Amino acid sequence: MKTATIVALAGLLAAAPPALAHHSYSMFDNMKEVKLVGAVKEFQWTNPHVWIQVVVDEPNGGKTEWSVEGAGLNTLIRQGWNRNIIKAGEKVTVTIHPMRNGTNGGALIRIYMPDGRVLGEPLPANQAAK
Amino acid sequence: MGGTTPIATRLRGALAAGAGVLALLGAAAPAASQTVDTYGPTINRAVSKAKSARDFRGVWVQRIWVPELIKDPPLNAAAAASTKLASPQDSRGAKCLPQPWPNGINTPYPIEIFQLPEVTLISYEVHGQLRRIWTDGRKHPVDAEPAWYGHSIGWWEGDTFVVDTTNIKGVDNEPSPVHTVERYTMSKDRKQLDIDFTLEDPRIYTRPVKIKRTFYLTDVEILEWFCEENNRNNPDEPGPLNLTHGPPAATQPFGGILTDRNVDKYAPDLSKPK
Repeated sequence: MKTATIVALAGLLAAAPPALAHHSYSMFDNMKEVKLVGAVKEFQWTNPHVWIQVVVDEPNGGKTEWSVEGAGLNTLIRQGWNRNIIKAGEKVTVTIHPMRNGTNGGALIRIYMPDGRVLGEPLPANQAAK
Repeated sequence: MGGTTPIATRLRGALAAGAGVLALLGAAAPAASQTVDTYGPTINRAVSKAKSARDFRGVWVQRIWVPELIKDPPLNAAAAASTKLASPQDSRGAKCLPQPWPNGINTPYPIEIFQLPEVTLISYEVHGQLRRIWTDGRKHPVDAEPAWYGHSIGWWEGDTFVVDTTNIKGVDNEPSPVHTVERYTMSKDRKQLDIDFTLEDPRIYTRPVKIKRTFYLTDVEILEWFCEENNRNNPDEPGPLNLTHGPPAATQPFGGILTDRNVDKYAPDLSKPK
């Protein structure tokens, strides 16, 4: 997690509930937010969850791949997502609730797309105007 | 979401933590503030022109994503002493295994009701579950094979549709003693479907437990949902990119119903610093 900015966000849960899933989200640390800056390697547009594989450039020149779990297709379709909404190669910033066990993965909070769109949980009111 | 009360915040945690067995699937952020009218793609609901108070056909969804808690559950001595009590979350969901009834009563995904003379069908989006409620006068079978959604028979009491369900398969593949009764009543404007739900489980409770659910008519179209498409959460299949579970699997003695006894354990208030 060297590249990750870790912020304790005690009030984050008040902003919006995590995406509901077919499994417990207790493996994620909902008190923490990690920011990943990198490129989309693969967008898995699937049930029971969508996955975004993000390759992050490390300061030492290396690369790490992160697995970011989103909600399920049905939920996201109803929020306006589709199979082409995220494409491999796109440079993105992703915020996640990280895995508690230190694995390079987490639950999607938001993904900031290169064209300025922000997908995922709605931004807090004090950030929405940015 | 300002002004979130502790219990509401806690229940959001419940949604996250209890998602699996509760079949509280999908349904992310919009939560309570979103109305069903803006919920998703629409379909032409020709059936909405029907006028009968007994015409429940259509797609329905619970507007709130928070299951009502069973307050002060009447636990028997064994249940009260159990440390593995009442996990609404076991690993079944994460393994893409079926969620036994009555978990469907908590689903935040839409359901679709079809009515035929001899049977009422309820389609639950998650797992593509199709539940048959026989209305042809048959009784529950004796010594039949148990099933994940049990065996349901229905009848009318006035304009209330009563559904009685038994023979639900337990985790040991034996019939469980769970018995549920649902009473469906539609509002006069035909946009709301209230369910009075009674759960009997003598393994856990000393008397029947009653909760309520409200579904709202929606134009959402039921979508397919196949869990095995890309399940990377199966705790039996760990891999470098698989995300496995923290909490141990538990049995499902509460039938996936959160209570004020188990909500703190399985759906802690995540807004509180640890």
